[in-house]
Amino acid sequence: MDKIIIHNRIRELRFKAGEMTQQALAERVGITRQTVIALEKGKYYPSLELAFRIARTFAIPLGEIFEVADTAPKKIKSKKRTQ
Amino acid sequence: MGFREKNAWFCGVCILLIFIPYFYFSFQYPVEHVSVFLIAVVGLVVLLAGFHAINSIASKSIREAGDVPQADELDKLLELRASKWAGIVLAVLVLVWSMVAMLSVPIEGVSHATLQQPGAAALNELDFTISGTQALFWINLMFAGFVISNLVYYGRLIASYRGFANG
Repeated sequence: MDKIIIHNRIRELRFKAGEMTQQALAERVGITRQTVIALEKGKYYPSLELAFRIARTFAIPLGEIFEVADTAPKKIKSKKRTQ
Repeated sequence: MGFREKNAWFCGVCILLIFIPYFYFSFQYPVEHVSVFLIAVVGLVVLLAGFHAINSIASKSIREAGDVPQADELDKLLELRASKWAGIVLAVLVLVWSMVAMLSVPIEGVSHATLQQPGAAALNELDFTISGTQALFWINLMFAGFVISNLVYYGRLIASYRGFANG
């Protein structure tokens, strides 16, 4: 199964929201600044609950913050059938 | 560096600072080490309490919030992973310890009993005796396994936090 890569626009949205700091966002959604850094770098995918809290903070739908990146499907090795 | 990463660093370093000299001493002088054990444990508690006090005074976020930050979902995930690693290490060490103890303790015990009663007839294996020095050595070995698993816990935690920070 392909690994799903999820991109997010948290960094961009922070700047659009009056240059909100990472610490301010962290306090508003109830996480640490280190978690915000990990989220922005794409090193950590949030739980559904946290994702909704972030969406609520920026007052936009979830789908506008997180999106699934296009991934190339794995090549399936075709086995030659011997008849 | 976040509060929890600092905490993990400090705990790891404290364990090394306290328990390397402790085990160096206790394996050399197993009988005299009991008082040293108490000093080591008290020393560890004092060091950790001191660190928490200094970190709380020094950290602006803790001063403002009035309490240490709650563990969020990432912290909990990393703690869970570190616990899993530490648990595996502890399980392996206990298993190895048990196997080695089951094999060697009766042999050492019988030979010790034979030394004490050189003229005695063939000893039953159930009659074996272990000296206090040997018993304390084996207890310390088990304790070392517990300390190593703790070090693995903090080491894994630090590695995870560094991984997220450095990207």
